[in-house]
Amino acid sequence: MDEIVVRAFRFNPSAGEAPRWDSYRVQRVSQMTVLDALFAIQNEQDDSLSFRSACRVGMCGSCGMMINGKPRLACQTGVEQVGAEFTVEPLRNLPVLKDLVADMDPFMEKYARVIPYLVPKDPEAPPLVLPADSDERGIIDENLQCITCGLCYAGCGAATADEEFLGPAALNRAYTLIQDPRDATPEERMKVVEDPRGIWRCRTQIACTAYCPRHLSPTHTIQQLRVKAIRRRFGRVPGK
Amino acid sequence: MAAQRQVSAPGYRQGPIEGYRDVRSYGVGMWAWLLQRVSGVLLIFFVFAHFWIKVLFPTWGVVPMAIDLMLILLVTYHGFSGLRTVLIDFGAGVRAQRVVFFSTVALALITAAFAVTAYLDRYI
Repeated sequence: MDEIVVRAFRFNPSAGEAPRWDSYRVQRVSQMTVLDALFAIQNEQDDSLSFRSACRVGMCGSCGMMINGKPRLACQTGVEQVGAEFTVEPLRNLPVLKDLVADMDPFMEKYARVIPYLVPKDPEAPPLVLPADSDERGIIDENLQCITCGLCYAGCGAATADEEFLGPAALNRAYTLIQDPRDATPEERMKVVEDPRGIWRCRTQIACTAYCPRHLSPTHTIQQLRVKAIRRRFGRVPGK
Repeated sequence: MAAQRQVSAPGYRQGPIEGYRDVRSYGVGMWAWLLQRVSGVLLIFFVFAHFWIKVLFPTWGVVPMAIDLMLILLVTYHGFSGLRTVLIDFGAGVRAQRVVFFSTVALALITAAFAVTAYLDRYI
């Protein structure tokens, strides 16, 4: 029988237990994802194992977890990619609620700090005023693909070192809105991102770009925000 | 009444030590960042050792030569790694970070090989 071994991080604060690792043997099936393996464990062996999931097609971002130490979406990771024995644990850089479920509140609280919604200059103006082929629209369209799964934040070494760091997703969202000419609050957002715990805390380790399941590049947008911040203080940057 | 949300147990949070201890999570960018810092710190030591041996107490032998060769290796790697950082600061090579990093290492090794050859030709 073709089996895989899943080593799962277990932690139940209400039981007062210390964190531990449990191993489960699961029968491998064709095209099996890590999420499928977790459901097999939950259905057949241990219904106390907790994890998040919803869409199963990489759209909702709720099944983010550390798989073999790397942040990934469980529904988008095939077991053949991670070997016959692999580990699963909750997203790093966030508090653990139970087993594989991380508390996303710190991540979302930082996301909210950058005012992550469009504040229209003219609330009465029609909603679509940017031509589809404009540069601004290109930036906005690409970065709207973010599903706030938190993988970039979990993989970020700067967030590991400093839990107050705004993180790649919030900075990426801020840049998208700052570049939007319809928005009325770019100055407020720039003040938030220019905080020492904002763009200047990034260590350019490029983990966010490497792990983003939507293939966005927060590293690039953080560099663009840095250029903007320098321009605001010192005028134009040569070559930009 | 709204259900109370369960919160994490006090005292448990995967902190920096747990985060950094798992080297499996290190991507290419993390290794590049780490090597840049380590080579920078080592450079301080080897530059002072070089200055000590060449200027303050001139001597010659296996140890001074080893220090010079290490200095060559560190200077070339740290220099090329710095150029990589400049590239990324200007938005180039972010998506091709693997290629950029290994190119940095290759260029540093090739340059160091030329420099070591010239050094040995001169002193041996």
